Amino acid sequence: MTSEAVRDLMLYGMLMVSAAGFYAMFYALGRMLGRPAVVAFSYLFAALQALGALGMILPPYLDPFWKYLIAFSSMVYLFIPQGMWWVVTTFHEKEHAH
Amino acid sequence: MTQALPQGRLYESQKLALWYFWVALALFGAQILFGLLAAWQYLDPNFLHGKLNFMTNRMLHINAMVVWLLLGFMGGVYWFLPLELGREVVGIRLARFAFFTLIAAVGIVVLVYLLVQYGPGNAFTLWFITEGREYIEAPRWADIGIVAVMAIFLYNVVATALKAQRITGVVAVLMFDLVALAGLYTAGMHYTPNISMDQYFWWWVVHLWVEATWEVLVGSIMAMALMHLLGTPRRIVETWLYLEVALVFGTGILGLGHHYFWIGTPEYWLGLGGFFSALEPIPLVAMVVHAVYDAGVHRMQTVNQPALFWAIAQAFGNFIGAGVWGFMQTLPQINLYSHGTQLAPAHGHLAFFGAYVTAILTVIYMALHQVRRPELPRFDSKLWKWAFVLMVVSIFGMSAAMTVAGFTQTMVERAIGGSTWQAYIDAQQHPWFQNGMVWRFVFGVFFLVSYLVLLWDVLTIGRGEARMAKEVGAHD
Repeated sequence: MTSEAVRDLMLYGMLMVSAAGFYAMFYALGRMLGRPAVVAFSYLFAALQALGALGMILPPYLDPFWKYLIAFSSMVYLFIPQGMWWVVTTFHEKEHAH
Repeated sequence: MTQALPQGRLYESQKLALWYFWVALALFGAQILFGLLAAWQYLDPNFLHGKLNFMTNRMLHINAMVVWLLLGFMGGVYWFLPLELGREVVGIRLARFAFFTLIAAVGIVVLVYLLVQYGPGNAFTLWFITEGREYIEAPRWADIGIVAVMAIFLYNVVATALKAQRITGVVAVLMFDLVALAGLYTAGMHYTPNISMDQYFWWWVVHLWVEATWEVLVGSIMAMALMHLLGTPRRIVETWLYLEVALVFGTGILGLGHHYFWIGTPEYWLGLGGFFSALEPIPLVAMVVHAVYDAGVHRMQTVNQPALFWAIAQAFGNFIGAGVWGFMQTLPQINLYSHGTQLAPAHGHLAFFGAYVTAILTVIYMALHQVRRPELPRFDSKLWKWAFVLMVVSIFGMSAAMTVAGFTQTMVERAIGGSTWQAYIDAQQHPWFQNGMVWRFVFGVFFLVSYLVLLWDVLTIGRGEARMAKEVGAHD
C-alpha cells in the first residue's frame, strides 16, 4: 500500500465516523426542537458520512471483505438516528404512560 | 428491611466514598504533573535525565491514571450502593481497611518507582520493584493486593445486597462485573516465555479489563447517577444498561482482536478483530441520539448543573474518543502503519477522558451537592464552567497535537520510510512531529490550569451558600 493510500484511508475513515456522529446529533436536535431545518441540515452530514465510506470503498486499496464491511457500516449509520429516535421516544412515552 | 436516612445525613459508606474521591482527585493531579514532565522530555530529552527519566514519568503518568480512575469508580459505588439498596454497606470496617491498605500500597509503589525504578530482572525485581509489563508495571505483591481489595469490594456489594434482600438490575450487573474486574486483572500476573502468549494475557488486562469491565462498571455507576440526577425511571436506565452490556460484550470483546494484529497470532484475528472493531462506533453513535434526547427533555436544566454537563460530556466524549479516534486507526490496513505511533495516545487520551474522567466528575459533583447543601434548589458556581470548558478544550488540543504528530510518524516513518531506524529519526525530526509535541505540552499546561480551577471549584462550590444559610439561620 502506498503512503497516499494510508493517508486517504485514515482521513476518509475519520470523516465517515465523525460525520455519522454529527448527523445523529443534529438529527436528534432538530427533532427535539421541532425544527425541520436542523433535521435537513443533519442530512448534509449523512451525505458526508456516505462520502467518507465511498472514499474508502471506491479506490482499489481494500479487499472485498473490507469494502462490504464499510458499505454495511455506512448503510447502518444512515438509519441509526431515525431508528434510535423512534426507540428513545417510544420507550420514554411508554414509561410516562405507566 | 431498608434504613433510609433523613435528608442531609450520610451513610458511613458515603463518607468513605468521599475519601475515595479526594484521593482520586489528588492522584489526578499527579497524573497530570508526571504527564507534563514526560511531555516536556519530548522537547528536551536531557531534562531530569538520570534523576527522573522519561520512562519513570510515563509509567507514573499512566499508573496514576489507572489507580485514580479505579478509586473514583469504587467511590462511586460506595456512594450510590446504600441509596440503591436502602441500607448501610455491610463490612464497612473492612472497606475502610481496604481503602487505607490500597492507599499505603500505592504510596509504597510510587516511592519505589521514584527511588529505585528498576532492578536486575530476577524474581526479586518482579515481586518488589516492577513487573515490567507496560501500563501494568506494579510489582507482584501490589498486584495481589489490588485483587484482594477488589475481592473485598465485591464481597461488600454482594453481602449488602443479600442483607438488604434486594438485588436490582443495576446491582446484579455490578456484581457480575466485579467478578470479572478482580479476575481479569490476574491475567497480568501469568508468566510465559512465549512472547505471543504473553502479549495475549497482557492485552486481556490492558484492553479487556478496561474495555469490558470498566465500561460496564462506569455504565452501572452512570445508571445510578442518572436516576438521582435527572429522575430517569429505573426501567429505562436498566434497559439501557443491559443494552450497553450486550454491546460491550458483542463488539468489545472480539474487537479486542485489533490488538492481536501484530503479536504473532493466527491470521484470522485480522478479520475478526477488524470486523468487530469496525462495528464498535455504531452503538456509540446511537448513544449520541439518546444523550441529545435526555439533555433536550431537561432543557439542560437540573438542580446540579455541573453534574449534568459532565454527564452529557460523557456520552459525547465516549463517541469521539473511542468511536472516531478508534475507528480511524483500527482497520488492519491502516493499523499496520499507525500502530505504536502518537495516534495511540491521541485515541487513549480522548477515550479515557470521555468515557471515565467525565463520569467520575459527574458523581463527585453529585456527592458534593448532597454533602454541602442537599436542600439547595441549584447547586452551581461560576468556576465549574471555566474548568469544564478549559478541560474539554485542552484535552482536544492535546489529542489534536498528538494526532498530527502520529499522522507524521505513520506517513514519514512507516508508509514512506518503511520503518527503518533512519525513517524513525526522520519522523522525529519532521516539523509536523516536533510542532505536535510543542502543542501537546502547551495544551498540557492548559489542562493543568483547568485541573487547578476544577480542584478549587470542588473545594469551594456550595460552601458560600452553606455559610450564608447558617448566618441567616443564626439571625432568625
